[in-house]
Amino acid sequence: MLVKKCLLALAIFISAYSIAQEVKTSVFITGTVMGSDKTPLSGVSVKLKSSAKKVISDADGKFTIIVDSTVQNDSLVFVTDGFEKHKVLYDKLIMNYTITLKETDPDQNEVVEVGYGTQKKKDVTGAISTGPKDQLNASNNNFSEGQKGAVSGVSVTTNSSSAEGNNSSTLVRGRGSILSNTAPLIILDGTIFTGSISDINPNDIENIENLKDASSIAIYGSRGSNGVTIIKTKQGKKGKMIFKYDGSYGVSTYINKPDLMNGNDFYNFKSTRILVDSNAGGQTAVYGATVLTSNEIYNYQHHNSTDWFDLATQHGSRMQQTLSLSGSTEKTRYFFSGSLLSVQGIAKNDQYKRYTLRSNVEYLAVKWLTITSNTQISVNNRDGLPADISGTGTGVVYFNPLTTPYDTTGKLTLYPWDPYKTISPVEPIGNPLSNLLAIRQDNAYRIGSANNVKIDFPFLKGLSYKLNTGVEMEYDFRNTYYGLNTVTGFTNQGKATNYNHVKRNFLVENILNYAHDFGVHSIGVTLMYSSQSNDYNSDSYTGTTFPNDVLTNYQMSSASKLTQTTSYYKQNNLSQLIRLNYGFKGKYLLTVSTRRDGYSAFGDNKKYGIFPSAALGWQITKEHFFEKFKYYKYITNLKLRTSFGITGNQAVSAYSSLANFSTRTYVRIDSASGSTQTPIVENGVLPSKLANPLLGWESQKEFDLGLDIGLLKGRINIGVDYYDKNNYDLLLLRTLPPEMGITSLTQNIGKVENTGIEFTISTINISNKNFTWSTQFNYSNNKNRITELYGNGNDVDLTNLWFKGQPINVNYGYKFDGVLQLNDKNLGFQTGSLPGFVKVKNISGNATVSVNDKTIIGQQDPVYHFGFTNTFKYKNLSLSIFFQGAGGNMKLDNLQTDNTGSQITNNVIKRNWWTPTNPTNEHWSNDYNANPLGVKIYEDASFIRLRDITLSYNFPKSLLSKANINNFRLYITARNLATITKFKGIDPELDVNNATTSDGRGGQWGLPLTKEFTIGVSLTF
Amino acid sequence: MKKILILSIIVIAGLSCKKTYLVETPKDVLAPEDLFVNKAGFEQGLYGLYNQIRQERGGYYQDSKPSNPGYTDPTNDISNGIMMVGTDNAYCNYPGSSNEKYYNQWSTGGPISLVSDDYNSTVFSWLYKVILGANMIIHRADNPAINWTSAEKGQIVGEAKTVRAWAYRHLTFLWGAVPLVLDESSGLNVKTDYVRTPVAQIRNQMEQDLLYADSAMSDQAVVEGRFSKAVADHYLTELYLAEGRYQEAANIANKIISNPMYKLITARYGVNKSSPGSPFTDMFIDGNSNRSQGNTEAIWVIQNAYLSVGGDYNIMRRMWVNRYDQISIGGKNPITVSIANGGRGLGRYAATRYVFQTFSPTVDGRTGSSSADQRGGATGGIYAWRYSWTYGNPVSKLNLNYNTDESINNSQWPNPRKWDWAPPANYPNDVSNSSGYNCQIYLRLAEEYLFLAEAQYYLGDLAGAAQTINVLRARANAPLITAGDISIDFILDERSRELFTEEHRRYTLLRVRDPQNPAVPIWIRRTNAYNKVIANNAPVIANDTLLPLPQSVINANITLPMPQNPGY
Repeated sequence: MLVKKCLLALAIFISAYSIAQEVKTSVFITGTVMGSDKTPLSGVSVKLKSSAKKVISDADGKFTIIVDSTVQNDSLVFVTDGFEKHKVLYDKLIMNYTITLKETDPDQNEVVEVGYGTQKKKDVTGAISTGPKDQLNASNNNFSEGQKGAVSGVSVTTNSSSAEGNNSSTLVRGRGSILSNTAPLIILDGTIFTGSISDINPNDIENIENLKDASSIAIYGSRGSNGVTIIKTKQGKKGKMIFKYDGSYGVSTYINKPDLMNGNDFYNFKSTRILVDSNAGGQTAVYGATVLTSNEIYNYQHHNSTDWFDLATQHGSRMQQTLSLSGSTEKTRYFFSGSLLSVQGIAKNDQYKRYTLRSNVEYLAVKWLTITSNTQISVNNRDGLPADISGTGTGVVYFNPLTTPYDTTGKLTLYPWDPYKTISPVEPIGNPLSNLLAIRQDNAYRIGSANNVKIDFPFLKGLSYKLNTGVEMEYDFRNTYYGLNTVTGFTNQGKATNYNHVKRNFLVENILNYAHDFGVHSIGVTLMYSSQSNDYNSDSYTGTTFPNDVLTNYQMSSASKLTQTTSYYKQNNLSQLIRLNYGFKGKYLLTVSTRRDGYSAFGDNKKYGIFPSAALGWQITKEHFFEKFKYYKYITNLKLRTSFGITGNQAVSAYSSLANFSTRTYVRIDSASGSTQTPIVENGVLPSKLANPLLGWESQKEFDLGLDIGLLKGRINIGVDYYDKNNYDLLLLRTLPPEMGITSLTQNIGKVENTGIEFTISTINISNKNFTWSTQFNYSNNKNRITELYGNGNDVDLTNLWFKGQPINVNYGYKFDGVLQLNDKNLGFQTGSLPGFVKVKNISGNATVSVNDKTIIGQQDPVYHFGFTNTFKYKNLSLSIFFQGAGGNMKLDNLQTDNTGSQITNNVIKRNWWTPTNPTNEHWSNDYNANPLGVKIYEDASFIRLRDITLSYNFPKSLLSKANINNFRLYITARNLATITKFKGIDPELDVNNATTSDGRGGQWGLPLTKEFTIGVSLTF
Repeated sequence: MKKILILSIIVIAGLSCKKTYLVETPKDVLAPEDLFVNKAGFEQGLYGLYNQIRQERGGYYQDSKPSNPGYTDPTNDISNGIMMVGTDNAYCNYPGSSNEKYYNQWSTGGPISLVSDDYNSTVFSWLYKVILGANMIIHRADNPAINWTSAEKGQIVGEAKTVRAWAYRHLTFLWGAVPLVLDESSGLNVKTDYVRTPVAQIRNQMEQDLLYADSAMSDQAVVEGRFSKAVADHYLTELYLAEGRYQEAANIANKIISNPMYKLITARYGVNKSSPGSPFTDMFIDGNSNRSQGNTEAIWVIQNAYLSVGGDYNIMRRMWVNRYDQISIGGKNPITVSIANGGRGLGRYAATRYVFQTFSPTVDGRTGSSSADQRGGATGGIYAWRYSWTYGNPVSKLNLNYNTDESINNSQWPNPRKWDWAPPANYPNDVSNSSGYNCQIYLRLAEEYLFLAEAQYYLGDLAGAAQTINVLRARANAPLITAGDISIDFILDERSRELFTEEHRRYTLLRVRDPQNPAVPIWIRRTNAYNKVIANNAPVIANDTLLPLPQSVINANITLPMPQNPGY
């Protein structure tokens, strides 16, 4: 409806301004425009300085312009992107001009995306970090991986390992929300992107800008406070058609794996493990030998040991190919690309395939009307289910090595504990490899298209109108079938789940832009009015108990029990924006903006929010007094920036301000059915949520002070930023008196502060004809703390482990203080503890251990992160070495968790157990009860990692030109070759919060991160 | 320039949207305003409440936040444990890592730890959620725009009021004085100054609710699985007994007993009719429990169904059937999980030795043998209890010894068979299924006889009480008694014989005063006398009669301090 309206409005708009043109007596001037390498340039705009009329050069660089015969003392102006503006004196006598344009100096005129437009980098007043172009290479499945460690203020953490590689979290300038999403807003080609980071082919990306300060992000109002990532995809370049092929192949393997026990180790471990201690209450020691099962003894005696981890993992591989075609004609610029990415993860059956087709076209319809369309079609295939890696009691890292994975015929056993009842009352434990036999088809189809129409008003220079529309649609079909040969299928007599969803997102933006220089004053105005709507609809059917496995997912009609779930949401946004830019002599720069956002999911009393901001820039080098400074010649750029503003986090999801019921279905027996007990299903409901009309966005006040320094003609560039962000009205689940019937209500009550500094430096250390050495370094440090919880004087929330004055994510518990030794004086402190038991640090100073001895043991999010790249180029050979690191945080090393189960059914890693003759403090004794308080081990998770080494070779042009090849690059990359850390788990990056199980498995028990070797080529012709 | 600006503004203004653009119209989210508009909507609200009541025999936190790590296992922690275990006749045989351990320890390890315990707070919240659901129905039924007959309205409001009284019954027995909430809560009106209402005042409200139900509901339940008038009358009887209003109790009990709809089962019937068994045990067999299946004794039956949406589950079998598959004979576990053996049990709870003694002549005090008692006698009760197991080929028999005091972790201890259930034979893969899916008796007529006998006892009519109890004993094939046998302890013994694992034993014993010390409930004396596990750990004391208010309840009452129960 809205789209229709907008299109209608546009039609009126265009016709209103189609103005007929008049022609007088004239002369014809012709010429050719070319670049410095003598290639003809098409699409160059040519005009007389005094006239508004322009012509555009054709594919051969030729142009013809009609000039009024009376024209005198004028000049011809040549303008095109990527080249410096060129002027020649107009001379009536020259009928055929040959013009050579000089390519622009990237430092001088570099533009950055600032949201709803671009700005020259030198005029920017906000804190904006450009993503690394050279790291969006073939080694990354997605752009987020490519940004890791490379951008100041943007912290990317890989939470878990998978083929798709999309489980990472990005924090811009620290965690600004306690419960809500902290991921930055992504703007793809000018439209809000709602897909997954996997959906964008990194090879299609031209550049990425990360907006960090309030002034930059406030123009995204209620959605800006987590930072904004602006991604622009590649556009056709002026000039002839270029084919480009990128291809790479890589192999991967885990960096580390948990050092689990083999059958022999396990047998010894279990036999000697104490179940009930001999010294406690005069009981006789009971060892694990008493609960050895017949199967364990048999397998031990026959040396049958199973390395479940090995059975579930493999060498991974990664293949990607992109073919693109780009160029321009007189009126059209185009970029087409097709790509294929195919990844096999290190877990068997974990695979990901992505096919993308992109078509970016810009068409200059008439000289004041440009139409642009950027469209991508993609298919994401996630077929197959990997083995259960870290499921509670059922994952391969848990699994007892003295069990039987395959039966005598070579088929997977259903219950490797056969006969499984020997370990009753533990529920029968299924084979963790069972999933490998399940059938899983998962295809997501996605279209994302950003289209806009831009009108440059012919009668007022600098005024333009842009109608920007974005459409995204995603269809996902996911069918899973567990046959009788799987554990799930066996217990359910076959289980099928057919799932599908449709996700849609529509955006319409009207943008009016005016930019003009009036002498020393430059003025820019942006007005924007937009509406966005997105909805989601999913259907899922789960059927169980089928006659046979033959028809897999296509036999729902014969299921004995069929469960259906349907979900739906729709959310709408309405926004208005005004932004003013003012510059005086390029010396004083001012940006002021205000955005008003309305959002459907906000409570009735809070539908609209207003988000203002202001920023100031001062180009000190342009001051007269600066030239009096002794070393001013060495300083090419010195800019001071500051900004302040209010932004929001749209944290509220659809319908969260409304009251709700949850479904509580009830059956009743059909009275007529007698003993057959035919059930009749009655839909029952129960109140589940109270309405909250006051529910609104989370707010953020941010102050930023930054300094940009350029030295030695750009050979050294330094950027420093300090920020202070205060987030308030954070959504927290407030506990209600249970007497209300509902125990919690989401309200805007919490407060958080983040302060930090960011530092970047890039230098060209050596620059010779044959050899260059350049270095980039970035460092960010963020201090995060909760400044207010529930506003009721409660400074501590022990349920969620939130503490006022502390960072949001902290570790909390008893502190490990080594092992209780024989004759340890501390025994009295821990009543009932024996030598060899875990020693708890006495925090309270009290005589006996109590909850008062629990303490905060470091924060979970890294305090700082950094990246360090050195690039060496010798002739055509280039070597780049990239280190990346983060730290200041403590992480749970849950590998040390001693979770064997009461019957000692689960495997654990090898350890240095305490014994009276081995009085170590490293690990407690091999006793089921040795850690009665469940003390956890936290370790410093700071690390530095050699993330990428890339060696590449560009074949010389002289060699290639014979084969009509422009460019041929061959490279090899090695990733994650080395990590230096004190952390003893398998990886300091793996996220413990990612552990889905209640006993803290996952995390270090999850799939390890990988090291990879990739070889690739890049070819243009 | 002017023209452009004007035109631009017109264009942009022309795109302005309707005011309703930001108004949410959810499709998959139900709001009270959309639901309670007709009879069908109110019935959906009621079915939600029945679903909640059913959870009394399901995992206790099924309805709370399972995503929150640290919550215990939903299939191991039954909601009603606290209502019947830790009494004279039931103890916790297999204390897991979960809360059952408290039942054996009370004042030492138990209730004090319960102050901040999930189990304590979850049961509390669960009951108030039921109250919120009931309050919504009761209040919104007054909307004159609803098109229904006054009988239809009366039936629905009557059911909701009975449910509300059901919830306050639990709350008052478990925590004593709790805030009486009769209004529908709202997000704009968060209340943080609740006051504990005296029990007498809450009971007054319960009485009004139940009297309304008695007047407005029909004798016949609308459908199987919903409350009939007798359910309200049942709770009214109990309320009068608790209040010492014995004549009113006797009147209401008599009213139910004399209703021709309800008859004790005195003859074999139903699906198991031709197999060995007894009339008493027939009622508990899957396929026999509902009224429509021939169970004329049933007053209300919990509805479950296997492999059906909304069929849900109960875990009574898991709790009460012992771990016979762990009995070790000759280094093997020869007794395997099977349908014939009653399905898979974890033996979390078990009967104290006292239960078996009540079937022996010495305690029963009967002349003649009570071993023929179908409810548990050594010869007559073999269909009600597992006193032995058979296994192997050739068949061997293991007799269980219950002539010693009860102890924990005892797999060779008899278990009741009332809750036996396993998936049907055509689902062989599922024999170890952790839960039960059978319909189960929740209230039956036998209890009305016991209520009546109790009222008669207090009214001084001992002969009448003996006569009333003899109706049940005759049905169970137990020797008859005379007025001289009647005492309050005898009546409580009889309740245990008849209603073991059915009645909320703790409530019964809290309701009845100890004739030897009328200041305290009889629960204290009987539990310490008959529950050896508790007696050996730490005898229960007066403070143990009430649970502590959950700390979360006290903490959330920010603006007014809420006093804790004594002793915590």
